[in-house]
Amino acid sequence: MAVFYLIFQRLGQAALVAFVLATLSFVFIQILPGDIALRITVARVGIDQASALEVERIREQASLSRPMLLQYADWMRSVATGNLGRSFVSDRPVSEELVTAAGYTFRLAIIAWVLSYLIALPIGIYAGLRPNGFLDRMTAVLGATLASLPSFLVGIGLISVFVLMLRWFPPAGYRTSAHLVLPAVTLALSLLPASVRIIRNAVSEVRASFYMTFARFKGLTRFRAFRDHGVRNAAIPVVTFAALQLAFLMDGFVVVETLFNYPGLGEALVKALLARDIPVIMGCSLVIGTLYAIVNLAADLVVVKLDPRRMESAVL
Amino acid sequence: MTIKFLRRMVLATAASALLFSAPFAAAQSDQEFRVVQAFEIKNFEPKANGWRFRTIGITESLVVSDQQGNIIPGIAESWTTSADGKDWTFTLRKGVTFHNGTPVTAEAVKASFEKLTPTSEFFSKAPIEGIEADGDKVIFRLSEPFGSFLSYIIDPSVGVLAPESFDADGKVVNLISIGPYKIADTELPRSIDLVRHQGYWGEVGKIEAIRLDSVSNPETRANIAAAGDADLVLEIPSTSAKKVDAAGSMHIVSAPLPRVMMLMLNAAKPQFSDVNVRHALSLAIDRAGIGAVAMGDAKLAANQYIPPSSEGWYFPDFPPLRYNVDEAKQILDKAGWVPGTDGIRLKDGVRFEGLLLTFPQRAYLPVTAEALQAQFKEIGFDLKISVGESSLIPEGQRDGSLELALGIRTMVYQVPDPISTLEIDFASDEVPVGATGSTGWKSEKLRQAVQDYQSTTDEAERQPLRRVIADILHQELPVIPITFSDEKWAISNRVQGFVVDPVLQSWSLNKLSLKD
Repeated sequence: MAVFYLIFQRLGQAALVAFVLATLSFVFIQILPGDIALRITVARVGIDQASALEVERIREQASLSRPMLLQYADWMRSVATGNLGRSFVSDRPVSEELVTAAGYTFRLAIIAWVLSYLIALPIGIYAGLRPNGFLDRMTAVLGATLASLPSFLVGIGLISVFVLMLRWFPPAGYRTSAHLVLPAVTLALSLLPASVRIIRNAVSEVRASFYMTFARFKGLTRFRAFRDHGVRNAAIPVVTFAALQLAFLMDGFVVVETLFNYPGLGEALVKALLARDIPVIMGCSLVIGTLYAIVNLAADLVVVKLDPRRMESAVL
Repeated sequence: MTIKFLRRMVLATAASALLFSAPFAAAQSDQEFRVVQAFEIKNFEPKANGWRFRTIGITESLVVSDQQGNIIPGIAESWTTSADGKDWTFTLRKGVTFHNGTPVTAEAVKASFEKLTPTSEFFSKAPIEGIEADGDKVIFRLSEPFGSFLSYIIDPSVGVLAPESFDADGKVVNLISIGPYKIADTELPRSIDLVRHQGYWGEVGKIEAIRLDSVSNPETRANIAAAGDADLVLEIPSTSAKKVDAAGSMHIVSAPLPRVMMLMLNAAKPQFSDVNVRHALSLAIDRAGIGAVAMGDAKLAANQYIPPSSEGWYFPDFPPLRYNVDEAKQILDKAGWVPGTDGIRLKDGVRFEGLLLTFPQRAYLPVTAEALQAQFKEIGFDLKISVGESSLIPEGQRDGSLELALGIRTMVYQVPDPISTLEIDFASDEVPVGATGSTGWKSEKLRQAVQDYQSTTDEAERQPLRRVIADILHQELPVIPITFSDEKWAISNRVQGFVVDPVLQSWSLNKLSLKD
C-alpha cells in the first residue's frame, strides 16, 4: 500500500514540477530581450523571406499581442484538455514533435546508460574490492583524464578513428543501429568516470564495514560474503546515482546530437529557444520535468526494494 | 534474492536497450542516392521553403532561369506582353502533368497563383489586378507596367501547385507540383524521399529515387563527405575542403556565389554620417587578407557591392575598393577626427567607436569581425563586437540603435535579378528583416532609378539604370563590401553530370547519373 502511496505522491510532484518548469520557461522567454514575433518569423520562413508584413502576420496568428497572462491562461486551458498546441515555427502539433524527439533521446539515453554501467560495474567493483591496487589507481587516472575531456572532443576522436580511418561506422544519422554506436559510446564515456568512482567507493565502504568482517568471521568466503551481504548495501548509492545520470540524459545532449545529427530533445529545445517557439519550449519543459520525475520514482522504488527500511523516508 | 533481483534489473534494462534500438535495424541501400543539405525543411509552406523545393526539383513555375540568369520557357512554352506592358500572356505546353498525373490546365495554374501570391515576399510586389485562364493561356493583368515581371514570376513561393495541394482554407498540405522529382515520403524536418516524375515536361531524371537529408552542422556535413556517406553534400566549410578531397570518396567542386559579406553602418550616427568617413573605414579594410584567412581565397576580396556572377550588374570599370591605411588616416584628419590620448579619435565630443553585431551561423563572420577590430584600431576607431542572434540586427535597424553590423546578402536567391534585393535593401522605407541593407541612409536618386528600372522592359533603358544604381552604392557606401563568397559542394566519385548553378536556381538533380 505504501508503495502505491509513494507512486501517487511522486506522480503528483512530477505534475507540479513540470508545470512550474513550464511556467518559469514562459516567464523567462517573455523577459528575454527582442521581438518574439520577429524571431519566430525568421525561423519559420527564413531570413530571406522575412518581411515586416510577415512579422505582423505571425504576431497576429500566434496571438502575441495579447496580454501575457491571457496567453499563459490559453496555454494552461489547452494543456488541461490534453492539447499542447502547435509549433509557431513548423505549425505541426507540439505533441507530435516532442514524442518523436523524446523517443529518439530516450532510446539513445538508455543504450548509452546501459553501456556505461556494463563497463563501469565490473571495473568499479574490482577497484572497490582492492582499494589502492593497480587497477584502482589506473582507473582513477584514466577517469580524471576522461572526465576532463569535453564530449564533443571525445566524439570527434571517435569519428576520426572509427569513421574516417577504419570506416566501421557511418559518420552521422539515426536510421540504423550502426548510427547509434558512436553517439552511445560518446555518451557512455562521459558517464563512465563518475559512475566508476561511485561504484568503487560504495564497494570499498561496504568491504570495510563491520557486517562484512562479521560475515568473514562466520566462515564465508570473500565472494559469498560480498554477494550475500555486500551487494545489496553497495547497490543503494549506485542506484541513486545511476538514476540521476539517466535523468540528466533525459534533457537531451545537444553537443552529441549536433555532432552526430541525431534528432533528440536537446537539439529541439535549443532550436525552439533560439526561435522563441513558446509552445515547443513549454512542451519540452513538461516532458523533461515528467521524465526526470519518472526516473527518480523508478530509482526510489528500486532503493525501497533493496532496503525496505527506506520506505518511510521516501514517502515523506 | 538480492543478486537475483539485481540480475533481473540488469537484464531487463539491457533488453529494453536492445528493444529500443530494434526500430533502427533497417539497413540503408547501397543504391540509395543521398543528398545532404544544410537547411531543415519544417513544413510544405512554399513561402518558407519554396527555394529549397525549387532547387531540389519539386516545384517549378511557368518559366525557369538558365545558369546565366536568363529566363527560358518552363511549362509555358511561350509568352507575350501587351504594348503597354500591363498584360502578360503565357501559353502552356500540351500534355504536361502534375506529380499526381492530372493535367496542368490554365485554370489550375490560375488557382495556384491566386492562392500563393498573397503570401509571397517578391511576386506580391508585382501590381497584379487579376489573373485569367483562357484555353491554354494564363493571363496576368497588371495595373501598371512591371519590367521585372518575368524574373519575379520565378519566385519559388509561387511555384505552380496542383489543386489537390491545398486544403479548404487554401493552406498547402501536400506538395504536388510539376518539377522533375516528386515527394514519395517525408520525415520532416529531417528528410524527404523523392522519386522521379515520369511526366516531367523536360529532361526526366536519370536517377530514380533520391533521399534528401538535412544536416545543419557544417562539420558533420564535412564528416559525411569525408566518409563518402552521400552522393552530393552541399555547403562544405572551406576549412574542411582539403580533408574531404584527401579522403578520396568524394571530390570538391567550388564556384562563386552571388553573395557579398558586408559591413553595415548606421549613417544616422555622427561617426558614420559623413560619406568621407565611410570611405576612410573602407580604406582601412584589408579585404585580401580577410578573404585569404576567413574565406580561404584572397581573390574573393570585394571590389564593389554586387558580385561578378550577377550578369549586367557588375561593372569592371568601377575604381576598386582599396586598402590604404595612410590615406584613411588623412581623410579622417581632414574630417576633424582627432586622435585622443588612447589613440581613439574624437570629434565634437563624439568618440570614434561603435558596437558591431554579427551572428555565428556563418563561421567566417566572427573571424572577420575580429580582423576588422584590429584593422580599424590602426586608424583610431574602437570597434566592439557582439556575436549573437541575427535578428538583433533588424531590431537595431528598426529602433535606430544599431551602430554597425556584419552580415551577408545573397543577391538572387529567390528571383534571378538582383533588383529584387536591392529594392528591399536600399529603396524602401520598410526595414529589411533579414539583417541586410542600409540604415539611416536614403538616396532619392537611387529610389528613382529603381522605380524607372521596374517600370520598363526595354533592355536599352534598363542597362544604364543598373549602372546608376550600382554607382550610387559604390560612391555612397551605405554598406561597405568586404568579400564575395564561394560555395563548396562535395560530389561522390560515382556521380556524373553535376554542374554548379551560379544563380542558385536549381541543382539540376534530373541531369545527374551514376557512372557504370
